[in-house]
Amino acid sequence: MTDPNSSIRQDGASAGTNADTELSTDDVADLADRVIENIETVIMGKRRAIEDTFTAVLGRGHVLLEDVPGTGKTMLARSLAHSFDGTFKRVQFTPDLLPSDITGMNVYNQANREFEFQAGPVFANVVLGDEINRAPPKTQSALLEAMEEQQVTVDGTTYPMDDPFIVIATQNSVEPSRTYELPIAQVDRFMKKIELGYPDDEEPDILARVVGEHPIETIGPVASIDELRAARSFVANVTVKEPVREYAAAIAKFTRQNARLGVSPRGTIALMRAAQARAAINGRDYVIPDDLQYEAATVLSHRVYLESDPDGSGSKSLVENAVSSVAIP
Amino acid sequence: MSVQESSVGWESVETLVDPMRIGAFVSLLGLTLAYLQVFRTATATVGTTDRLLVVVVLAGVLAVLLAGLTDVRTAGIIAAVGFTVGMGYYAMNVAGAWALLMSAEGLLRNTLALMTGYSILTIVAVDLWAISVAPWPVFLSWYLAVRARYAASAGVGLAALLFFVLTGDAGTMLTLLGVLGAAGTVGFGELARQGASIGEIDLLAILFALMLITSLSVSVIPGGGAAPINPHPEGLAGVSTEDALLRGDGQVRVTGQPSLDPTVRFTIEAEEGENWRVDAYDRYTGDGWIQSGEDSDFTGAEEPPNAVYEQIGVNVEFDGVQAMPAHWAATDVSGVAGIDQSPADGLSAAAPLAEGDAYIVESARPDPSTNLSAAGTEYPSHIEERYTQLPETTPERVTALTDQIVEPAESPYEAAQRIEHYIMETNEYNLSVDPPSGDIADAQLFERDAGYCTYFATTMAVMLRTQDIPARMVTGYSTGEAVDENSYVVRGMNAHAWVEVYFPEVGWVSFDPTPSDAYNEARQERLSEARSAGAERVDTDATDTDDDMDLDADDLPDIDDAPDNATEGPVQPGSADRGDEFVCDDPTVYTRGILGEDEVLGLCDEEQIEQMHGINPGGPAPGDARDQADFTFEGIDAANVSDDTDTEDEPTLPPVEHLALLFALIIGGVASIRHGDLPRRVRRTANLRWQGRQKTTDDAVIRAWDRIEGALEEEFEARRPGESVRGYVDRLSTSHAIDDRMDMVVDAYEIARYADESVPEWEAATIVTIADEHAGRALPFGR
Repeated sequence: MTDPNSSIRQDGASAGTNADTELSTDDVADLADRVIENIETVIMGKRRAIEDTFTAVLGRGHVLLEDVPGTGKTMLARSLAHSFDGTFKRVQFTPDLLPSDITGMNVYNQANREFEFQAGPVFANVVLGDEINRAPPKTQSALLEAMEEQQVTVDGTTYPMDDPFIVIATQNSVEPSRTYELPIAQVDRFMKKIELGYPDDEEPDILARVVGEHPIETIGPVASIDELRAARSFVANVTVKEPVREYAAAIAKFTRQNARLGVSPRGTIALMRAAQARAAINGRDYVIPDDLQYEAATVLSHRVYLESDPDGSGSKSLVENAVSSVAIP
Repeated sequence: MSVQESSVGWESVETLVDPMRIGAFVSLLGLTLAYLQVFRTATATVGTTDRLLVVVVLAGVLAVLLAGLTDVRTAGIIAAVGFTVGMGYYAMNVAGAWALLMSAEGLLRNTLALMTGYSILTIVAVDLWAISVAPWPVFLSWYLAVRARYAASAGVGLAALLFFVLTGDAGTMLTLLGVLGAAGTVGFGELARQGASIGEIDLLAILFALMLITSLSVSVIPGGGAAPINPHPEGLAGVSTEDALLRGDGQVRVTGQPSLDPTVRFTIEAEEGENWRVDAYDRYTGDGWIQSGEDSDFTGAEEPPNAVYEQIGVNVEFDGVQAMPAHWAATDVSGVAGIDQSPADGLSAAAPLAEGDAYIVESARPDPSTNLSAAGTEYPSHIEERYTQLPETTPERVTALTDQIVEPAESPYEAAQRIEHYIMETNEYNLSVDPPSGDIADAQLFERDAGYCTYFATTMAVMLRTQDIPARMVTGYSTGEAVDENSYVVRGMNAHAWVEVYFPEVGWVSFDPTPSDAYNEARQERLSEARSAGAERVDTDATDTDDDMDLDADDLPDIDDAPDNATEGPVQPGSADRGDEFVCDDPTVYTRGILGEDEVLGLCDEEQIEQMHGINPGGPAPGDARDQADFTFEGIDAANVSDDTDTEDEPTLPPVEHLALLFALIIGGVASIRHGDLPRRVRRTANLRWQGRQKTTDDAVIRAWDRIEGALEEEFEARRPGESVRGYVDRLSTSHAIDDRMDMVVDAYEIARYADESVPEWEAATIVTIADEHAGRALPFGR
């Protein structure tokens, strides 16, 4: 019981897919289709955001969902988590949340007179950090260590995270007071920042759907965590040839030349990984420049800072510029 | 001294002096030399070239100095003012030219006339003219070149060259040199302006090679006139000779073997039969004669002192004749209106005369009783300047030989007689000679012993001029067939050339150095041949149909006293006393205004030549002169013959016009290449059509895509900078109807370029086929 991971893994194996089995390109694309369609039953009209989120998952990244309240951020995270049979934990960030509330703590066990580690909510396959900008930086950094290091250290003891370990954080963009803006270094650790935005024409459908039982209540897993793991391993091996690597570097260079703070090398790696995932979703085992172009907006925009850019639109247009003007090798 | 040092040295030189600029300057130098050579030739014909050299060098130095001081506008004004002042200077120094210059219309007409093929040698005092004109194109073109305005610079030089091409003075080689120079100036200059590396010279090299190769292999346009090079040394026989000669109004060219035209031209009524003068030529070029100055309306020639007035009546027997035979100096003409008078007092009808026209000329002739031996050497300066000019290139040995021939002579008159006899005695009459390659007089004196009247007259005039005795070549007709008392039928083949010598206080007196012995047989044969062949217009009502050529002999004694006077008197004023003794068919004489094709031919009359022998004893003993001359001649001949003579072959290049046209085309091509985007289009077209051979299927597919993209770009629009191949095709497919196989192409391309796997061979082949189809649809040179 102290280690929930093992049982999850067994469950994953029992779902019918051998974890060691290498997936084919088609398998990965098929998996992606299943997951995305499953999530779409809950989140309507946001296929692009869903795809973006899932590519981050496949690309071994974490996702920051940012938008006004009530646009489905949490719903997206939950439905993604529920689409697999892995563990899912949710942490509601509040100003009084402590780091140990996330990572867990050592608790004295009277029976064997030892301190035992009580694992926090961070130990799960999918962790939803809701309204992450409402917690103080100290607490935020506890989560961020886990994201970056794939491990948590409590009282000098290091505990590895689950595999896969996916953080989906949400953040309100309209609550300036009593919030703690994520530091630049931390934002950089999210592979993508995705904005859901308001629904367009499909709002009546959304209303129709929530009459009666909300779809989130009935959503079930469509893939095992082992499959996800195998898919992530497949994505990691998607071919990125020299011209594409050069292209990614050129885009990064462009942002560095044209912004106060450009894309970090970590950002470039993230772009490449996202592009790998994108290629796999589209049934390819090689990355084409179009993949990079597609992913650049979500992967790079939050890593670029301009001198004066209060609403972030300058960063976005800079990335668009990079995509449209950097020559493809 | 290491390699490194030397390379450093070269680099420093390279930065100081742009090799492209040097190339442009060298090219411009070639162009400049090309047109200056024409000036130089002109000045060399009439005198020395030193002054020309000085003014041209000064102009060049001025150009370089002013390049750093004044702007282009000022330099243009300087050139224009300089040109105007130069023309004014020229005009003030040349009698008659001032009045001409006063009239802008006259100047324009003159210039245009020059540009229709008149050599600049027809300009009076051409050496002065050259000095006045030559510096300014040199100045302007070098100024512009130093200011890096290469195209304008070459344009100025080319304009000067073009002028000489139009006047016929610039020969093939000069034009070639000049145009190459112009192209080089523009080409190198353009490269210099664009800061091109030395490696890009290959473009120019290719261009020059192309120009030369094509210039030597293309022949399109008819050849040109007065070029110093005779491209057909042997080819001008018969009628074609006359065609070539007829083209050069105001010129006499010595050319190849003539044919004889027995057609009747005139019937002349005169008290005595003589050579019938048409016109005279003052400027000797080494290979021909040119008449300088302009025709004017006939107002009557200046009368010589102590003139004897004489009239002849001329009946025109042939349509289209313009030449009007008349003795010098004609003072009055009645019967025909609209007569032009040449600077040498030759008459011609402004409009061609028709058969049946007739006129009477009154001439003021030198008094035959004048003692020419006592005439002295007090020549008027304008006569001496104009009629003692010889080309710089006249070999010294001509003078040396003449010195020996005339040494015993005590007066110019005696000298003239000695020369006349020397020529007569040392030459055979033969129509079948080819023109010499060098100076005619020199060749006739040292290289050959046969010729016809043009050669002899030329030689005599030149020899006289070496002795500073004013002389000129005269063209006209020999006496012709005497058909009645005081009536002579003159045929085309009677065309003739002889010499006039100036004697102070007397005027121009004719001498005829053409030897006479057996050559009239040719004329007789020709006439008989024509008669027996039934040729038309060979006879008039008055002439016999059988070969009775003896009438002259009957006539002459009966003619009035003048011949007798001359024969018996102390002096023999040339043709005046010789009567019709010299009749020489001369194919090469062009008498101005004669339009009949065969008109220029003539042949010596046997009987007339006999007559000559009968007359001559009155003069200084011809036998003596002859013996002396023979002796002298042999000595000099042995000493000098072969060394000085130029016998090199002339290059046989296409005529000037061919090259000019071709170069105009090529220059246009160069301009379009430099200023258009032809190279890019050529490259793209080649890129589009050429698949080449690739090692892998991937490379083949990538290459095929490049070609397809090129075709799509031409057909629709270009790929944007940051646009992927797929994005490009997707965009095109939304707005245009593009090949639906493009998806397949893009897939294959992406695999080839971005995937580990390779495109299968069959697919690659398909893609290449698609590329071929698209390239085939593309326009040859794009839009």
